[in-house]
Amino acid sequence: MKLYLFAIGGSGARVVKSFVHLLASGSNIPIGTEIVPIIIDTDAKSLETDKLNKTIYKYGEVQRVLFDNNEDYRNSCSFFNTKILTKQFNFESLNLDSTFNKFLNEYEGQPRKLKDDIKNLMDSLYDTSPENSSDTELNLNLNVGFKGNPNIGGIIFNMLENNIDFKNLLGSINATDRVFIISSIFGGNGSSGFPALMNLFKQSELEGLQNAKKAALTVLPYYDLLTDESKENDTSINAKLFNSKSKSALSFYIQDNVLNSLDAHYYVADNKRGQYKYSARGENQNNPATLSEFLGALGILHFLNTSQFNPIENKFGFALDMLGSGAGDNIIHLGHFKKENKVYSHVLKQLISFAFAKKFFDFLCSNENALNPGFKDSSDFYNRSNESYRSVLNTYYEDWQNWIDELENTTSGKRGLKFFEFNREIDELIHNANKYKKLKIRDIEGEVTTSIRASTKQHKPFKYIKAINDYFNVINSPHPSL
Amino acid sequence: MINYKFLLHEPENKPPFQEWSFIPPITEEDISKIEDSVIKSTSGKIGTSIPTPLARLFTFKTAFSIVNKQLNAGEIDVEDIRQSIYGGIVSDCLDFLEWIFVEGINNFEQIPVNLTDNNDFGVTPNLLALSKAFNSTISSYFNKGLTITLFKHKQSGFIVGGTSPYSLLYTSPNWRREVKQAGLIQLRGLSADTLFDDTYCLLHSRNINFVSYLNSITNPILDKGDNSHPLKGFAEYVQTTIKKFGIIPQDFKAFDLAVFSPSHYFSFGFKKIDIESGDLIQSDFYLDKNLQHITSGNKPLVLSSKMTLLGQYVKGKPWSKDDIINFNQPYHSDLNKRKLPNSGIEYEYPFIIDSDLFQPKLIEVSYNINNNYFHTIESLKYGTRFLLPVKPLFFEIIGLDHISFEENLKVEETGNILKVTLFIPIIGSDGRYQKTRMVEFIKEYSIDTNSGKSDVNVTPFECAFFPFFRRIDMVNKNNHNKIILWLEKSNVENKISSILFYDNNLDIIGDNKIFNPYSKKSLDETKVDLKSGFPLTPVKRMEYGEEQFITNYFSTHLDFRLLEIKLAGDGYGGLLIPKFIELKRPFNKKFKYAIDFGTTNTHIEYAEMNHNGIIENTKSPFKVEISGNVPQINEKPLVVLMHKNSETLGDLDKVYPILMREFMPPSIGNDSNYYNIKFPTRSVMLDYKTPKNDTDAAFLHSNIAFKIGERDDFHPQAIYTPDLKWLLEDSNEIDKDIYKNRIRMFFEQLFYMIKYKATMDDCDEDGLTLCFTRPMSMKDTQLNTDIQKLIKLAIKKVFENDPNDTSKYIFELDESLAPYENNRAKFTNDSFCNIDIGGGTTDILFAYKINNVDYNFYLTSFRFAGNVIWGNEADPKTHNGIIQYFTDIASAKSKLHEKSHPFSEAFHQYNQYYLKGVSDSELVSVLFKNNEVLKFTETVFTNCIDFKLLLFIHYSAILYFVNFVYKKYETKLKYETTLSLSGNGSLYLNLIPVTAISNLLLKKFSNSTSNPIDGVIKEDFPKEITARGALLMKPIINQRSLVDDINSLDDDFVEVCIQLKEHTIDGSHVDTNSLTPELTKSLSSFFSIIIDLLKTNEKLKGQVGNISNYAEMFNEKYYAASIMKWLHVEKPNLKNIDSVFFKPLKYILFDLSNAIYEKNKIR
Repeated sequence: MKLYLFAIGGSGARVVKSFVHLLASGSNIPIGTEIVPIIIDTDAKSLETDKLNKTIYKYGEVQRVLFDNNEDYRNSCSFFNTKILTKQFNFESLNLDSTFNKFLNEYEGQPRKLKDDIKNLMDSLYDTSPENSSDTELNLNLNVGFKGNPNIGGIIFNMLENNIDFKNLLGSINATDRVFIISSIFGGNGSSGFPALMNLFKQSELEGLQNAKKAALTVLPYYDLLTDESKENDTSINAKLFNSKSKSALSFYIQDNVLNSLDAHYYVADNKRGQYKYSARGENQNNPATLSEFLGALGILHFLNTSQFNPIENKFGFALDMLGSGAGDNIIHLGHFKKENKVYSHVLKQLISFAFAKKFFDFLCSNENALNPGFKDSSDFYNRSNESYRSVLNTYYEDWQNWIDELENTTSGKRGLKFFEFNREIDELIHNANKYKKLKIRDIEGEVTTSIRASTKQHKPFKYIKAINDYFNVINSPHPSL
Repeated sequence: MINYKFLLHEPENKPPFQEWSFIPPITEEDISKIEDSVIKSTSGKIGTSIPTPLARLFTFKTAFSIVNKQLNAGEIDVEDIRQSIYGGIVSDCLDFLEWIFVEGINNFEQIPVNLTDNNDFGVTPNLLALSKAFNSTISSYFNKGLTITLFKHKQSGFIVGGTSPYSLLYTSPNWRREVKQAGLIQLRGLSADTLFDDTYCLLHSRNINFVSYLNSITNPILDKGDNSHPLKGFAEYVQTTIKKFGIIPQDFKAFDLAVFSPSHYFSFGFKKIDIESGDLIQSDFYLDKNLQHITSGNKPLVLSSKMTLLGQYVKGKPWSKDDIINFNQPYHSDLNKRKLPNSGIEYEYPFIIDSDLFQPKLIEVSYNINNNYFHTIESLKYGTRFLLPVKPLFFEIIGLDHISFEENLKVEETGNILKVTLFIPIIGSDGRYQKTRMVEFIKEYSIDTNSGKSDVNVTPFECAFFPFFRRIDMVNKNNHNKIILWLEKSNVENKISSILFYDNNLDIIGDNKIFNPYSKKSLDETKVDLKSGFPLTPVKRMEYGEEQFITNYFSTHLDFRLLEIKLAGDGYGGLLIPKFIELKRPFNKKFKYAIDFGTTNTHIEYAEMNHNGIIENTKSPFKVEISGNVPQINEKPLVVLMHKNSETLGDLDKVYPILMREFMPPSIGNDSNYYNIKFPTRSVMLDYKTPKNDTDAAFLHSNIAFKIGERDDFHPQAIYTPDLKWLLEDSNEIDKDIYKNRIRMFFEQLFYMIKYKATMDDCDEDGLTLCFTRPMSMKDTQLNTDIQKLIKLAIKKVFENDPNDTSKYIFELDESLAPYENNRAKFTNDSFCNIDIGGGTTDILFAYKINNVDYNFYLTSFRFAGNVIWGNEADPKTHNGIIQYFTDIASAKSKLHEKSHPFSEAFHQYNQYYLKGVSDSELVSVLFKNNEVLKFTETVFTNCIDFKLLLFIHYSAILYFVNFVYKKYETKLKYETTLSLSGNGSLYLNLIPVTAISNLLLKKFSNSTSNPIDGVIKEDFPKEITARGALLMKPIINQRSLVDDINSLDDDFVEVCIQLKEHTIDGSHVDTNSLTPELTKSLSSFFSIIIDLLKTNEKLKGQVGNISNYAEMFNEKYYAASIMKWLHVEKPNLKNIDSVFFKPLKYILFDLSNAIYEKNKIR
């Protein structure tokens, strides 16, 4: 089974990034599932897209080096064991380097004017302010995205229908595959792309696509943008309007039979929002990872792990208990997730194992001389031939660590997600939990050494991660509320 | 504790859920409660989040709805609401309305823009994208299209806005800016308020006359309680304002100021003419039939164009034969809303005219409709190729059960004109006309296809119905799932757009949903019938490349009587009325059906029981016949097709094999007719959609592959799933669910056939008994439990009753006993042994009589059967040597023939499968089926006798095991036994001298001097006897001792195997030299005997081949390697280690077949 993950716009890319990091840790999904992210962003220079692509590349590199194309290796290791086949889609082929008005009235440089009545209608529906005005719609230059105007994006996205790459992509979807669309409701790309994609799906005659189970995550406002007072009337980027815009879109969505036909529809928002500086160009917009994106990624996992869908009960939300009061309310930790819940057993448990493995890996990398000579000698961990392996894994871990740090960050006023304390000893790794007494670095060293020795014939890079993986999956990861 | 819901609204169910959990759908109410930032907007523009070019209309709608809810809730200060972004939009809209209210519309140029769901703004991709954006919004929200009248301010030349069905008007986002540009400052309404300025003004602050005007428009909408009225949100805002602010609206009619009449611009009106009862006039043209449910109690008039009947039209006004009924007039589709023609006033009263009864054109199918089974009309020129060009109302008037095609419908043909006359009974109110008279409705259709004026449209399609009977004794018994197959060409001009099913009362079945095969709105329209679980909408199955045929299945548990087929485009259609076979009998017979579910083939036998449950006559095999003539009471068609059996399907001929393959064949029996299939049939499912859950139904996605291997010229996306019996054994969890559904559907389809066959034989479910057997090797396994569960599920679905009633549904019959039950009379000896070789399993029964009534019975089974010889399970990537050898020779041979030569045709068909990578056991099945033409067995075994070694070794191995059992139980069993051979897999024994070989081998194995067997019984139809035996078998065999733990020659080595397996699975390789010789003991001993026998017996060598040619394969090392191969490839279950003898033998035989091929292949 393949999961076709359509990530539209910045929020789409950000949720997928969290999802990839959860997959790295081995979150439970049906065996054999392959992920096909399709990243759709009209802003070709979007930093979010770029960051996601890099993360996926690093993930792929780890798989390449660790598993050496050996499926048995991949299947026997819970870390990094899901295949991610990336497919980026951009709008360059649609030649959108013009204003919306030109888009309507010209084709390949030749005038193709709208009929008078339609032109009048468009003038009554779209703001015709000049191109340099922040209000403009009809004269908006499309090379900067839709600037919060789904009434424009909703038209442009229809161009996808005739795009050969896109057609091929849809044609590859089988009835047993699944489709998941992530989009925000309050921006430009996502809110126009999601309904347009759903309409394309609906009109498609591809049986595979028609029959594949489909779900969507609608990301409601979860961050704010700081804008100059003078720009408060710039409605395209005014964060104060995020709620109002969401309301009108929600009102539209609830009547739309196409959207209501989803097998599952997930909604996520946050009323405790970080405030970030607005940048007109996507390449400079660099917001930290948030809890909402993390929950969104959990939504994808929920969809993958659901086999029966109810046509009535197909809307989903998420809520958490917040213990304590005061400032601490804004920090979510593992204790807020109950051990008996699937989120814990399917995702967080694996994430904890992965964190332990990462901590141990860091320890190995930085404590060559402090190690037990037996371990050092028996392994060739420090051999030059294994440098590339260490480097590839290290590169991914850095990315992962950044993500963890960003989730934790509360400085912009956003809610923090604090699971781990990497600056502490390994037995105190889990934030807000009792010390895990059984964990001593020497014990781990010994166990892992034995495991490595037992698998001398295995592909070298693989045996380390497998040994570490096995060790940390075998221990009963401590639940922080205990 | 604080609950954080990561949503903007408050869902109704109870957080904290801590998981992704169901929340109720978001409502307008929820949305209204989401907090808005109250920011001042001067642009009247919200930067909408709505992805449609008509976003602005929706924004205005939302604005009224939200402001209304905020006012109602009273939680937000009115002043804040006024200043909010949505307050601004409401204010703008009211400014525009008030402006027109004051000044009239003469200040504006009105520009109507008509939008439909099929706009075409131009052919460039960009304009197509624009068209599409409009089209999808129109089709989702305004199904009848939308006209927006734009208002262009004459003085300034700017467009102010336009009409909206949601808020009467909307303003352009540019208008505020343009007001300033045009110098139109200080536009005034009725009060001092300046229109379109930065100070917003809600309705409560506006002039009372204006409020009263809006009240007069909106009050009726809410009074009528029309929740779907597009203006509802707007109306609610007006009424909330009036209520909340204590405004007392005045009688609006007192003012002449309002010159803007919304009803002029919008299709929804606010006026209604009420006809008081008794107003109507007596007439002499009342329909002589009560049609109250469609005419609100008023008896409709019947008015035919130019009818010559006398009488009064209305009281005192005689009917004029002048053309007062315009045939082409688009009268309202609702009879009650029609305005009487020539009534002088707009007088609404129901009446029926020609266009209610006739279809405007004829629909022709490409073949003669079988008029034995369907009502049709006949043309000299065309035959019975037309659907009835009559609308359902005609049959509603006459009554389906009272229709007389002689009296009520007449067809005449003159030259190229086909004249259809309908007769409708009327009754008058005048004394002179109080007897029933007939109004004649005549319609002439041109059938001159050369003139270009033909009224004939050809639409090639075919229908098949299952079942085709109705029980008229118990109408509720007709609530079975009627299944209709629909097949048509999809790339023709006159495509079918919808199919409506009508019940006995001529009501449309299916909640008035249209069954549209091309509908993209399958999810919108899908209604699942909770009783049957079948979707009521069709499931599109496939397209055949350029041939462009599609098939659909419809299913309904309701008792429909008539179908209306509508074409795309003009939407006209025709009727298809099946003459269902009506059954009215006692239904008191009792039948028993036995189902032998085999690895490769499944067989059904049945028998009638007397009232004591005793079988008197076995009916063999399951047979249902169709003769194609007038339905007779003894005729038993399972499936009825629209066309006459023996005739061509015209344009659909090419796809006919698919029709046959996809749908259950009309007839089951032994006749060599293409419409027939016979049992045994293959245990193979054919899927077009992977069945994912147990609500998937047989027929819709998945069928028994009745016609597998026959005339498959197309390359559909079909999946054939063989080996159903063992599918669940080693499958992973995901596949398992899919496989389970396939197996369940397989049984479902069998049961449907049985159920309807039994009904036609005068037996209903209560009189029906089903029984099933299972091999010993399945006993006490999870697989057996799973399969039984699936059978029960299928029983529940088809028979809709309790499947746990084991007195009626018997599952646990031992398959090995069945041949004995059947052959009992043939066993005259005290000792007998039956070997039942199937596709996947061999079952053996040993019996020895210990006294007059009792026997010692020993039953066993193992997974070593026909597929070991013919299949390639040992290495699915490689072909069996037999297949390779045959394919090489036949390929060369086919080149010597013309393409049309039967051999070449058959080989081409086979080769398609070969090239597709179909498994060898499937290929062999095709070869055996076509053995007469392809000469498969002759080519292989006559040309290369060494291939017989495979057959010989296979059979010898089974006998080696038989001897093992006789030895082990020598105190309970005795030789001098009768040997019987059954099972489809035993057919290969016809290729070797089995009787001679049996004694020869058993003597060698037992070191005996006398013959161990005294005779061999071979069956001509070995598959059938298992089912037949099961039929005769009693469910409980308590007097027999059953031993079932003798299925391995090598019990002692299980532990060794487990250890070996662990090594093997771990990926490390064990040196075969290190294998204990004990482990290969059975194989060594077996081969040494038969090799010795073959070396010393020249005659035998001549009959079964020369094993010396392959001597390198028969040594300890090779046996050990084969054991390792087995353990490595199959990864056998630790709890169920198979025999160390039979399992490696499979690999040895496979290797041997390839070695024989290599040695003998054409070079």
